[in-house]
Amino acid sequence: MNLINLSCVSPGRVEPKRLEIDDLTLVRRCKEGDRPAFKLLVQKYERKVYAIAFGMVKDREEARDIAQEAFLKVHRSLGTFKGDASFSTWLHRIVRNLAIDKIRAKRNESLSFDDAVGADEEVEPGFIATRLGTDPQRGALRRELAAKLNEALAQLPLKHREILLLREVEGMSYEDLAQTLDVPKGTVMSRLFHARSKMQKLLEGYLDEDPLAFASGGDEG
Amino acid sequence: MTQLLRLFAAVSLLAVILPAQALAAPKATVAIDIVQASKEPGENDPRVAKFRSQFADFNYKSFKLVASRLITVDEKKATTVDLAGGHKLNVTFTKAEPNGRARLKLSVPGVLDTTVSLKRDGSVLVGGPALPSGNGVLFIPVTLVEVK
Amino acid sequence: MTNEREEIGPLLSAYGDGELSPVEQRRIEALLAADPELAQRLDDQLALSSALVKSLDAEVDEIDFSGFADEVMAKLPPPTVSLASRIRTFFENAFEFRKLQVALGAATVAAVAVVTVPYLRGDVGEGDRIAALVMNGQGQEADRTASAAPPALDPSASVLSVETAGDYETMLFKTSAGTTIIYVREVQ
Repeated sequence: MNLINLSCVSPGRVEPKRLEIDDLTLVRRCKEGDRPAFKLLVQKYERKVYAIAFGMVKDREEARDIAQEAFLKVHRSLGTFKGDASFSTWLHRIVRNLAIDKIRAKRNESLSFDDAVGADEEVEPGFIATRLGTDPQRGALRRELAAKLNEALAQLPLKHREILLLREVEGMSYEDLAQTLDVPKGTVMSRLFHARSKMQKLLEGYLDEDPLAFASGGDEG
Repeated sequence: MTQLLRLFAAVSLLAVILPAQALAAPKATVAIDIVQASKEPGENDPRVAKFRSQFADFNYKSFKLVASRLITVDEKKATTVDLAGGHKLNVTFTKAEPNGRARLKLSVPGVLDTTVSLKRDGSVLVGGPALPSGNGVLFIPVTLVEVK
Repeated sequence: MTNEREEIGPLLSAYGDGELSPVEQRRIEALLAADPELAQRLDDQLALSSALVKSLDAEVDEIDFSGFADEVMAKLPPPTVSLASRIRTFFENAFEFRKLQVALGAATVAAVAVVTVPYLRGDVGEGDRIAALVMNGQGQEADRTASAAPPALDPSASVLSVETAGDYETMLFKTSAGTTIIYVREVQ
């Protein structure tokens, strides 16, 4: 049984797309009332769910609450999961919606594309790569840079923040993103482009502060 | 000799009957929730909402779900559940009764010993064991999920 | 130029994600080969992607998930059994119990007959009388279990016995919501 197949090869990240046989089996057992199976699902996805939630709300306690609530909602709604989307897509949609609800409840956050960073402004080509380094094997990011990245992420409009998180953290395909966000695939492509442009523009400001302070290189002490 | 043969036949029949009863070996699945109730006002745990109607007759003002347990006990066997405040609940599946009912012995050592008969989804509420802090008491809804 | 950049931008972004069709892929690769600035933009995207993943990984690594799943499990409601499953199990149990009753009854009748008939005919001794008592005891047990459940105050839950220990007293009552409560309190 072939459980792994690779997506299109490209210079970008090659993310193995796992056939969700394991998830479907677990879900089926959960529907039959098998609690240990549900616990396995929780353990399988807890880190990813937390990562998405934290990326959205930027608060550890809230992210943990959202992550727990997401799993409870999954348990309550198992009967509605038909298997037409992958379980992880369904789960991420739940997490995303809960995070958005939390953000809306806290403040009136604009969910539109409108933002202060102009769409035509672009970072000087190669600036980001030079500052961050392109070698994925390089050691851990410096703590300060990680913090700046999170700050920049927090400043993105919600729609851009969520799509960037789902793509970069979860490695979701454009098709899964379209399903999760309920938008056409073309919108996914356009929205990701704008999200990245804005993120780079925000980062340029941080990285310009002290080019040496954030230079990545070697493992963090 | 004839009398001995008859006695032997009777005992043999008994030997057939009794193991037939033991073959079933039923198990009872019991849900036990542990709720802390306090007379001090406070934030109410939303997970306790389903029990609120059961507590409505008491003067407790705030409730918190400490834990939920799902246990499975063989007939004539017992298991122990840790409650809060140093209390324990011993649950003995005394016997399976007709129509999916179960007879359970519930004991909180040093406090209470009770035998109840529950039907499927039936529940009793054991309440009152005090917390050492003196701030409240425990309520323990015990629900029979099923007998198999 | 700006328009071309706007058009190429999303395609370049999608190329980095491996989401282009083969035709679009070849087009971008040709442009990349001819335009160093475009190649640098792709490098920027890949660097950002890698850094973002690492920063979130670092955040997640700082969280202790050891009790997380248990916390979620503790918050789950008690399991409910579907109506169909309950109906099925009810009939299974009833049928099994009925089979057991029939077997018990038949065996008891047979056993009693084996011992009692000769007894009634007057040709049985002490050993047979004892066996008859044993059989009758078994028969009575079978009769008791075959009867309906004892009448209960609350059809779903009945309290059969209560004992308290130490300085506790018990109150047994039904709440206005219909729940049977065994409430203990310390005697002052």
